[in-house]
Amino acid sequence: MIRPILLSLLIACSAWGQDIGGLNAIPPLTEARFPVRGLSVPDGSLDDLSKWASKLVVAVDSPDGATPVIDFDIGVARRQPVLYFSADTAGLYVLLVVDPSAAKPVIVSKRVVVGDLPPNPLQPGPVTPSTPATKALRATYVYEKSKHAIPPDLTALFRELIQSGDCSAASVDQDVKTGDGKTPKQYEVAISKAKEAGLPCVVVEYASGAAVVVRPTPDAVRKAVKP
Amino acid sequence: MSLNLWQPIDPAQVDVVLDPSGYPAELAAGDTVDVLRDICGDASRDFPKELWIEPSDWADAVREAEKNKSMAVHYVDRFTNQDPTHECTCHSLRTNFECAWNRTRAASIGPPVAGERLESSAKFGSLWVSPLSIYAEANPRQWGGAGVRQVLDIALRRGFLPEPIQPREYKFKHTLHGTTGRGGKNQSRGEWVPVTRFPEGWTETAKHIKPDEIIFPDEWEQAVCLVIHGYAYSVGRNGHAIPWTHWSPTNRAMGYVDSYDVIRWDSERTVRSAYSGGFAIATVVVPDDWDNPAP
Repeated sequence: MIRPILLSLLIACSAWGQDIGGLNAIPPLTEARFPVRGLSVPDGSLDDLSKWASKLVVAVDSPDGATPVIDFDIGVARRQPVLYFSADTAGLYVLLVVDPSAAKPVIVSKRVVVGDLPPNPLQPGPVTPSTPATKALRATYVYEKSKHAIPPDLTALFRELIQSGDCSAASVDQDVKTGDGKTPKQYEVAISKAKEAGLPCVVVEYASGAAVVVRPTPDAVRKAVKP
Repeated sequence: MSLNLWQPIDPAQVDVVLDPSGYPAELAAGDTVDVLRDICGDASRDFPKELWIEPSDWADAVREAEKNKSMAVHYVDRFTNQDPTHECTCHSLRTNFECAWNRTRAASIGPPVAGERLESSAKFGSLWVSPLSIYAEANPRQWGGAGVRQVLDIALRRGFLPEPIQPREYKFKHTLHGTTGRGGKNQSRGEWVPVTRFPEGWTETAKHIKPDEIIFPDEWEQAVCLVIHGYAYSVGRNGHAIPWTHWSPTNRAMGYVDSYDVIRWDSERTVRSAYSGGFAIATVVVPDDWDNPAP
């Protein structure tokens, strides 16, 4: 449920847009990363950026009984706010970010389907985007070699995933090339998703063709591979 | 296999000086950082600041790397044996390359065991390259060795040929035995082959098996950081070229997978004097499909 305290803010907002990127459907217990694009990020110092970020209001409208986890971060280099979201219960979630400090308060939102939605009795047939098949094909750590290290504990997890046959895993630089100078086909999706979400991150791809972007931590990757 | 990072090292294995192995002083003199950077051109990279580890934290970082198997030696899954040839710079280069390949594949399956093939090499899909495929061009006279600048230039320009012996079947169209030296269970040996007698069309395979970017550090401590982060670091010193792969905090010494089926060590004093003119392979070219690396 949306907290009542938000209602007055929502009513006061002059602009309301679906301007949060990332996937629209994710498996349960999978951390997804959503870049927030619709806000006016200040150009000033880091202190200004920090003060501005502290005033943002982040909320999620969730199904009854659900206990979603939502976290907010802002990259200093890219100056782009990012939401980290996961949920244990299937259903439709609406994420909200409100910037009350703007001259005219702005709200951006996103609808996210977690797992399979219950069928809508008024509208027979599938009404939701297909959710990712649960079988993970590969986990890819995408990084910029001039800026990022490969986390040692991620190395250990990747070895574990390969050893157990859960999925393949690799660590690739965002500019990785084949011998013919092209982006390797097996990493086209991962690199595209990662660049959109911000580096470094891990992209988990599923048998269905779906993919999720998660933080490069063993817990987040493990949950995405084995939802 | 234990790396012995914390117990005293056998002094006989530290700062070992061998008979001529392929890196004489006249070749070493030409391998300056400026020359190597110039040869690498756009592939040359500075040390990434994010990889810096304060020297006071090295012991903790090594413990963490040991626990997670993420130091350079953990990405090396075989020994090679060049004895009695002069191919050392190319054996060092192959270790550096295979380390980078395995790091990309998350194949932290080392350290290697002399005379044994690790079961995990096949499962994780490591790939074994031929040092001879580089050396044959670097020194067409066969004896006398090769400079780092020559072998690095060749590898970046046209790549390695793979070994006929591989941990799994890759169906390569072109291969070349690994050495004219002793070889071993995981490295084939054969007679000298000039480049003109490489298998027809071999460059189509080699272009898929090559380094892409090279890191050149400015300080010896950065070389230690690279090794702890999983980057092998190739250097030449005392007439022999080797790849540093692990750091012992208690012994203040750098271990290396020597191309004689043995782990040896360089003291900190040697590391300080030898790091300049060395390099780490940051990235390699990556295939569309790991199971078919050179289509």
